[in-house]
Amino acid sequence: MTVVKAKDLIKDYGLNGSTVHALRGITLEFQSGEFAAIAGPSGSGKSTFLHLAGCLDTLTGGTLSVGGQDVANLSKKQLALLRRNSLGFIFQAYNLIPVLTVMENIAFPLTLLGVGKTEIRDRVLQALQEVGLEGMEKRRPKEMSGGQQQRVAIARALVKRPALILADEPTANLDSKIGREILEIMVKLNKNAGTTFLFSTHDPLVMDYARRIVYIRDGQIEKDQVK
Amino acid sequence: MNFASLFELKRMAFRSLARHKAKTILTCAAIMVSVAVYIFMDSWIAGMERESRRNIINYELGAAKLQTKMYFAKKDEMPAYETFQDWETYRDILDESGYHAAPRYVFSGTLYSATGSAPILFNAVDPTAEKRMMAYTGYVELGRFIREGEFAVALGAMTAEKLKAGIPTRPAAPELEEILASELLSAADGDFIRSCYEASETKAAGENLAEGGELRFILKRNLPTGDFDRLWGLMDAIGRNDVRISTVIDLKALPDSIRWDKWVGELWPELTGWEQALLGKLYELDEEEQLYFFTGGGEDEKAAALEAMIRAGFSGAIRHTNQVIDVKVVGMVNSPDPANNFNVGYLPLDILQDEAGMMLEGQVTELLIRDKKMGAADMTSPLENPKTIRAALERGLARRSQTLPSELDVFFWMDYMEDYLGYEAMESGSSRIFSYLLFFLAFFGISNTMLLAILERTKEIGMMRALGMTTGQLYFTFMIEAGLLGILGAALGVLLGCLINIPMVKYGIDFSGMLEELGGNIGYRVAGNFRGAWKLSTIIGSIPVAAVISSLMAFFPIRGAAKKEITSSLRFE
Amino acid sequence: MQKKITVIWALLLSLFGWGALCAQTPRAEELLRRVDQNEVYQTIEYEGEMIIEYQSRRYVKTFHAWVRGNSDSFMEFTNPEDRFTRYLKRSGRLFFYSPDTEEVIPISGHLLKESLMGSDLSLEDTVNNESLESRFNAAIAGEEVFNGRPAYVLDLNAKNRGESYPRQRLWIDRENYDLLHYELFALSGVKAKEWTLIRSEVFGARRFPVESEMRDLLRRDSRTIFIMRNVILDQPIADSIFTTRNLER
Repeated sequence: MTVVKAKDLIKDYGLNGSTVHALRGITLEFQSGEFAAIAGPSGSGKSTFLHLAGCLDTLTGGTLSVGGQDVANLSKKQLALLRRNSLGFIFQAYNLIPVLTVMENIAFPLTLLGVGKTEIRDRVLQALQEVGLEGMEKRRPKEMSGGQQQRVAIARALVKRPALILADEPTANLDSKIGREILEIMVKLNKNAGTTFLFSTHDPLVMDYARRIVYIRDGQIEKDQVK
Repeated sequence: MNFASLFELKRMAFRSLARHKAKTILTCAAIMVSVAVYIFMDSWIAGMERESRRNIINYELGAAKLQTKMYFAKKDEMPAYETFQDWETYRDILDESGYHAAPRYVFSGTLYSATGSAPILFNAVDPTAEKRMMAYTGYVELGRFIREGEFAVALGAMTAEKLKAGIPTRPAAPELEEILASELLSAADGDFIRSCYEASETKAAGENLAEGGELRFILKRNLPTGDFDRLWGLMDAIGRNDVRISTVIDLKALPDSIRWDKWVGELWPELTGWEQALLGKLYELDEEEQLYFFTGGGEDEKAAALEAMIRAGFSGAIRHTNQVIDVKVVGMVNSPDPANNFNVGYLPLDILQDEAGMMLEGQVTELLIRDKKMGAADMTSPLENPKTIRAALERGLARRSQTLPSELDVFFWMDYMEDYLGYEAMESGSSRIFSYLLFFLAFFGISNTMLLAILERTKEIGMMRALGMTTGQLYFTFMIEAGLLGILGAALGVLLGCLINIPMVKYGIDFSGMLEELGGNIGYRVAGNFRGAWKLSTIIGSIPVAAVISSLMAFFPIRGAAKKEITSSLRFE
Repeated sequence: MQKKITVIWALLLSLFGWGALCAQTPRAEELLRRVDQNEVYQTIEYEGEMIIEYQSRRYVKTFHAWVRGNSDSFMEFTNPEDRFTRYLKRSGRLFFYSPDTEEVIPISGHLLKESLMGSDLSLEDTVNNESLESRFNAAIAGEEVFNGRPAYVLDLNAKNRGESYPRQRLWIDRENYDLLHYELFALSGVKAKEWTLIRSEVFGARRFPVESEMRDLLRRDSRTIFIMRNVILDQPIADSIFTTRNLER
């Protein structure tokens, strides 16, 4: 099943009065179960592509379908619902809510989905187990190391079993040992649960683990490499 | 979005408040102060309003009045000529229907004492009826209330004091000396009078004297009743209580002749068509004398013509006769309603019937009406609706095969108090502006707090939106947060306001000195002690109101956050 | 009709010289007519001065006055404390202008009876210009010497209810018919005011009181000397004087 399907994808945005052509016609597909990375130097357009695939931004031209829906025709609210139902995000800076406990942070997407309280609890505990943080549900983010926080973020992304998890430089803030642990978890999830992962990165470690790497330069695909 | 998710978002709002303690406390304190001040001022105003209204009803007007429609139309001029007869019948009917009724003839005049004069509003009353329904009669502080058949007046205490009538309560040394110098007093009398006073506190008096001020004496308030009576008797004996009322008797009378220029200039243009026709019939022009002469007409026609002239405001139809009435001051009224204590006098109605009085011949200007079940602490009852009273009157008259004359009607106390009610509205309005200003500042604080909170959490907001939070949920979360801030502050404010209010309601603040300086006229009908009143609606209402206002104050900062691109929110540092 | 008959009767009686029969002691009505002839005017313009002595204090008020008939009058005070204070009586309606508030205030008829600027006179006293004869029944009560002048004493009783002072007593000079003194009584019979002539002046065929003293007997230790200067009698006065515009000028 095709999770992301982009055709002649164009994204321009204004910056200080001039127009930046971030993506200049990208045609790309990702299938369910992939563990793929978009790579390229800063300003290559890899993050822009990830944001478009994550329905966080609107495209300028071409077509893009995410989870089978053509995103160009969706309203802001419909986009929010699409993200809520089908997508998971992992950010470079973890972006946990500091006032909430680990349990509550992971529960947040389920709360938005309106899942019942007991079910939330069960699913959160399971997600915690999957990322190896059993027993830490009552902690606050600031009481944890960076790696632990990123694991919480992964649990938050996978707890609703999305069709696609988008990870924007997930290891950039971690040292290589911890980064490797994080990636191992994600690989395991991909293998065991079939969760689809799409990274944007320039970390060789991530590229090591990725089974497919799409190189982007100046808004265009340079190379699409499948290992 | 179901309830569970709302609940979860609310929890987040709570936690956020807890995280930003200093800011939360500061904002809460601002709201607390503004709410407390508002509650305090509102209680104060409510107390003054309630007391004023109660006083007006129980000390001044009764709940309603039977009066001629013409008097009511011209009430600001106090048209003493707008009288009516047969009030005894109306009183009896009202009595049968469960109402007290008290007749009054109200007129203005000047009261001359041995030392000065003052303009006075005189109420000629039936002392028995008055005692039954008007509470001021229980506040004759010194002396006694008037009795039927005596040429006597009970005066507002402040005015009596000013005119040096009755017993002086705070005489300056020379005033007391003057009294004691009277040849009509024996040495024993003099000693007795001295014994009734004590010098005002030595220290204060000394200071006053040093500044060239006067030594004052204060009447002892704990004397036996007999002593007060004796004191009053001595004041009587030296002539201190002999006063003269100078006034004008206004009579409505159809003029025998009207000068041509007045007829043309003053009367004719003010008349309606049929009134012109009527007067044209009753009067005839004598061209040589330049006068319109009355040529005769039926009683009904004469009455209608007079009515027309009064309605047209024609001065020639009202004759003024100077009158001087000698009376004795028998009492000093000092009631909780200052309107009774300044420039007001009460006379027996029955002494004013003939040439020695006001030529009333059974006429009164009004009949005050009050539900018998209502007491001095009560406002009005449903029975005191003017329509209900009128219906009762009409039923009673029908039983006697009579009808209510068309010129009479029943008016509610509020109809007479436009000035006061206007003042009340203005006063409460202006007092509230101050608290609104405080409110505004406090809630501006909320807006600012929320703006900072939202700015600080830009990245968090970006993440939550990325995770599928809709704009609606975003508004909900942060408005709840602001609302909680409002509720918390308001709850504390209510607590503080109520704590301040307890003594305000229980004891009040004494302003009687200031009141005296202002001649008793502060608009509110409250004498001396100003007390607050619990106003439950404000106390309960301020919390949700504060919550709603706070939430609304968060609206604009949230809108700013909602308009931001998610990607740029996420990049925000 | 009645009025006409009275006029005719009066003409007939004077034709028959009925009045001459009683030449020695004039009839009370005749005396009253003489007083009216001296004192009632069509118009008057004068500069007035009131010297008020009240409880051992003395105030002087000066003003300029115009009066027309019995319904129109205009007064403007000129002494420094009260400068530009103005009163207008127009068609029986009274207006007051205070320079402090710069407002024209209509006043109810009662003020006509009240003290004018703290004096013993009421506004009514200064503009009273109605014939006594038409309003009172008169009777001679006797003869007295008043202030060194032989005088008739006349008692007046109002013909109608509603007269301002229903009872008055007048002292009239036997020789020149000057009104020397009068007393005004309230309805109850209490004497309210006393007026005494100080000086009168001759204007054509009439003698007009230009200086007098008024005492309001209700006020303790109070009297007011009223002086009229530059008196102009019975000359037309412009309508523009008796306007509210003139008040606010």
